[in-house]
Amino acid sequence: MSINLNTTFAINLSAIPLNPEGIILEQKDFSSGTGYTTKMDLVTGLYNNLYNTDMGGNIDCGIEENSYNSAMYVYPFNKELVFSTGLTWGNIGEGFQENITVTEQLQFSLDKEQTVKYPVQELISATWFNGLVWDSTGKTAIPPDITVVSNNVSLPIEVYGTVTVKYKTFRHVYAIDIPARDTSDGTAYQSVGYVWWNGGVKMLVLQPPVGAEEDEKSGVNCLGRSIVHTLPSDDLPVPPGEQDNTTILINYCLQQEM
Amino acid sequence: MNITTSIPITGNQLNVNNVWARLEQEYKKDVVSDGTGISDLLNMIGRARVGSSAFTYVKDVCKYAKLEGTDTVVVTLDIFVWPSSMSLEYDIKVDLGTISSTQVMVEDRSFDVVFEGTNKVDLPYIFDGKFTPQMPFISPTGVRLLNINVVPYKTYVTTDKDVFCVLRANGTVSGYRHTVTMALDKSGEDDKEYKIENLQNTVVITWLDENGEEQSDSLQLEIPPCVEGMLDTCDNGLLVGVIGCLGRDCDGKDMYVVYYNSCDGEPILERWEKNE
Repeated sequence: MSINLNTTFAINLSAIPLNPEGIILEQKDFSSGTGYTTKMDLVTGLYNNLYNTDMGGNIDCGIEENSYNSAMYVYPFNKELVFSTGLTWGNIGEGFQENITVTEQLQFSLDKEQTVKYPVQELISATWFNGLVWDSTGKTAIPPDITVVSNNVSLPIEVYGTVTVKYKTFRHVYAIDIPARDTSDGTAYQSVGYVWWNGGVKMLVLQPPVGAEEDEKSGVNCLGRSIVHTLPSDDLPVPPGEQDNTTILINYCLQQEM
Repeated sequence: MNITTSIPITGNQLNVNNVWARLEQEYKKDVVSDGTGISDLLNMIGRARVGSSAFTYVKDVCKYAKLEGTDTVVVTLDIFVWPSSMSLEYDIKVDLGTISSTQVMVEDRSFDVVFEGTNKVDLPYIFDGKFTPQMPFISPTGVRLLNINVVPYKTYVTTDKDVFCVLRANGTVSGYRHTVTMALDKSGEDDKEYKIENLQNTVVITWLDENGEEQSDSLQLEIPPCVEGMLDTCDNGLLVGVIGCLGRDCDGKDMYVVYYNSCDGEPILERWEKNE
């Protein structure tokens, strides 16, 4: 049986309403490298210091004027859910709503149910990897229909296979600003975000940028701190391995490889 | 001395026994490693600019180890014992070296205490102070609750209903401090030093619980990188540093040389030498 590898197989978007209860609460990730100083940043900084230049750099401590900015994401399972938000320390903004597209891969290993991370508002596509699935005997099988309810993805039969699910989800976004407390015991930025609605509560311990508590304790920032955070990949470069010589002949007139 | 507690206290963290003790090391290995930093480099640049040698810049002296004589590295690491009661009697032992007698410790501390649908949160130490709500008290079904009583005890805090809430604790914590001392001999044969690798040391504390049964807690000590550096081999023990011709004609005829011990950075000899 030939299989069109690009076929999106039958999807049954269930008519059952989304789970009316429940919220997923998340903190926005800091940009990659926040709070870290790479060796290149270090060299740039030294160059600027030695030669009185301003070459600029990519150092982002994540902290500005003793506070850090981030965001709280609230993903309600029921888009109409009415809830309240707050922080135990810091400031939270008005909030706005947005739809985002999420792509996830689900690995089925002879099971019939998996979950995606967020509530699904609209399923865009669900594609089996290479269009292949296998049954319990190891033989290829017809990829089954996929049913999505809330964040549950279910199949009518057990198979092996990988499905890439692309979907839209809905969230509220709240900007947060967490200033440092006047304390030097390493708890300056401790804060908990919370959401509550008629039926439940969710809390989230917020995380400051890496090194922020230590910097606050020491009274320096990541530019002037006596200790430099370096990324694990920032170690000494791996010396190049031996390689065979390669000879390439170029036609000078045509500027083409011969 | 301040101790970092970056993770808020949540419910049901500790053992349920009423009599307990917990070990904690003062030195914390964290992302802020003991490597060369920007200020070290700027210090070295500053030295070079004024004619001193960047070579002879010695980073912060390792506060956890020192050289005694020429062959012995003495390592001192502090640990804390947080008991459920200051009258708790306990035995404390260490695998390697000696451990000092108790020193009572009372320190200021502030931290978050998080109730997640419970009415009791255990604290990791004896605490004396205030608990201030940082948010409304909310029931597990999402109803805002009023008139909730917060009752603090020495090692735990309670509310009169199951709640979601965060309290900010401000006060003092009480416990004991001990110092672990290890004297490590680096001398080898023929007056050659050898390095000590993979230093490991474990502290064990034992006590009797409320049922008369023996309980224990153990802690493998984290060895600071600067200590590991002191335990490394010191080849020849010397490194030459060259300073610029401070106050002299820099015609290359002579140079100011500092000999220092590469193990501890202490200058051994400083003099002008002919640049031959």
